[in-house]
Amino acid sequence: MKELLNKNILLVDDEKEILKLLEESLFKEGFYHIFTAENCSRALKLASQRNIALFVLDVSLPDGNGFSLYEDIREFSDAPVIFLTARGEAEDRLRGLELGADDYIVKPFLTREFVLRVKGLLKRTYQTEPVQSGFDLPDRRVSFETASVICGDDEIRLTAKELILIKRLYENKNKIVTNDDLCLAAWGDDYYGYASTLMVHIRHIREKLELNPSKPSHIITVKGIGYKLVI
Amino acid sequence: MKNTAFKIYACFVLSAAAIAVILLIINFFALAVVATDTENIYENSPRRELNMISDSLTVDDSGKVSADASLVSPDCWCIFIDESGEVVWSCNMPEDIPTHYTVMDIASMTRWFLNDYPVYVNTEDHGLLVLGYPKNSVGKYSTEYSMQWFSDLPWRLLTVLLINAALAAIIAFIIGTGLYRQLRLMVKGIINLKEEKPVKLKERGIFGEIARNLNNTSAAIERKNNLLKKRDNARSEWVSCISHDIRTPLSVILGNAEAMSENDALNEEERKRADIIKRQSIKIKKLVEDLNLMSSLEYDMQPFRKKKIRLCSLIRRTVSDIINAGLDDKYSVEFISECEEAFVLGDESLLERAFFNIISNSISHNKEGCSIVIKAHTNKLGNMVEINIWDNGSGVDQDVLENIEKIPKTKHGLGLPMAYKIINAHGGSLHAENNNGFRVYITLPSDI
Repeated sequence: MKELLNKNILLVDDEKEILKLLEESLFKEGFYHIFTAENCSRALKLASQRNIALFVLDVSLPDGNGFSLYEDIREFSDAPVIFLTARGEAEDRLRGLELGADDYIVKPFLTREFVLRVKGLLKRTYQTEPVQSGFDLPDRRVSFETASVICGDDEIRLTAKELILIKRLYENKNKIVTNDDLCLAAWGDDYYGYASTLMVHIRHIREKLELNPSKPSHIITVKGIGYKLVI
Repeated sequence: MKNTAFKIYACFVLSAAAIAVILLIINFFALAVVATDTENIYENSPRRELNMISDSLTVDDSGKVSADASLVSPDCWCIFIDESGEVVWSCNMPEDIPTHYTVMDIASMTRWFLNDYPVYVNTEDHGLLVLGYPKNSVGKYSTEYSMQWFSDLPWRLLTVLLINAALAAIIAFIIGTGLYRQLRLMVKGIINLKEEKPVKLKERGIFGEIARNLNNTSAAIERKNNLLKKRDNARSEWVSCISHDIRTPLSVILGNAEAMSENDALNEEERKRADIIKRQSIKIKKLVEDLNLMSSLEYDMQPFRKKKIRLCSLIRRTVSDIINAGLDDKYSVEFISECEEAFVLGDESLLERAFFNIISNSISHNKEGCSIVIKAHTNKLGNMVEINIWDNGSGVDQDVLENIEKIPKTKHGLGLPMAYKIINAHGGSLHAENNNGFRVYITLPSDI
């Protein structure tokens, strides 16, 4: 995380108050290399001088707009970009994302949310997450590396599909993952019609994971909607 | 329209036939009454004048015949021919009239002309009284009929009447067809007018005036619609601009309030106040977003991005988002899907918004908790997907149900009216009621 805090961030917005707000909120989180610009030309100048790791661009700027500025920046930098806009309309949002923006924040926003998005984007771009090797349940361990459930001395193998499903549930642990999401993960785009197959797989997973598979305490069914991994 | 055509034809044909018959009868009698006009030449008809002269005829002892000459109209002449063919009395007799007549002369004269003078003859005790009119003043012709003709007359008259009636009907039919055609154009114009399609009729014929007025009305409606559309556009744009302009200052307020509420240098009271500002700002933010969406939906100007959506997946995602956002355990949401294969053509984020609003409404109206059930199935024809959403809570206020089609007063929020608008914009229907809790019935056209 430390190295992420040292990254250069460029904030571009024509509203001084907003710039101040964004700068302060990042500063409070420990980001000390923050640059601000109120227009495109100043932003481009700064961007060429410094090695900017993340851009935050307002869509409406006095001497152009965020979209064209984005294209100019892309000439020399591949750093991630967050668009900031006062226009919530779907058109704008889609245009930003179509251009390849990494995120999109509609004004007004909570600075806390803004900071989280900046951190998340930096992490995704510059930090390789340690690969999760598995997780522990009270009486057994699920290992992704060996694709198995270790319970005392026993090692129960997981099939490829079961592993995919468990991983997907674990990524969203304690949250509902819809049937569609699980099927999509296991069978790809053409997942329609696998709902009953999914139920069979979940039953098998429960037999391997649960102490009492008929009264599951870890893989909970949310009727008609999906499943939830509770750990 | 067929019925109208029949009525028009029937009316025309019958009235034409009736008119023909009535006219014929009237003409018949009129002809009988006004058969001759010769009485109009002088004071009396020739026959009457002759009779009057005849009455004034006197024969004295010596056998001399005389009559009242003053009875003879000017320009007319009168003679008396005795049994031997001699003119024995005359009045105004022209020079080209002979004074002696043979039997042949008499016979030819009684065919009504004597030397081209139209004459009228009366047989007296001792001769003939002849009244002559000026040349070329009277024409005469004779008609002859067999007795058979007279006995057949009633039938003949009836036949003539019938033929005339039929002829009149045919003519009326032809004229009626023309009229009906024009009338049909007018009716078509009025129907188009009702549907607000442009009307451009030919301004000719008997209905020219009506056609012109229809055209003018159509043009006026078009003008008004254009104006309305312009106004709607302007209003929608205005709302969009306002909401855009509010967002930036609101960000500043929100951001600063947020910073203050987390600032340890302030005391708790001040932080609480900042937190209130923050929360109210978030409310304004939501209102602004809703207002903008609502206004574009209101004027059908939503940039629709329609695509094929698997409806059940969309509902599952919406429900799981609501639960994952931290739904209290006192609420339960269940989804019964009986149409996994159903697709609808629509805007994904808008439809999500509609379902989100309906479920959120159940949650916010039942603070003590409730269980919500969503059921989706296709109808019998397979062309519609029906989604029923109900809870076992306390229901909603009556005026929420009544105002679901309108932009409501702020008291009740935009949630349900927005859902209503979104479903409608997708060609579906939404009906809400209180029935052992709150129930919403939605239909959406399914995309096959």
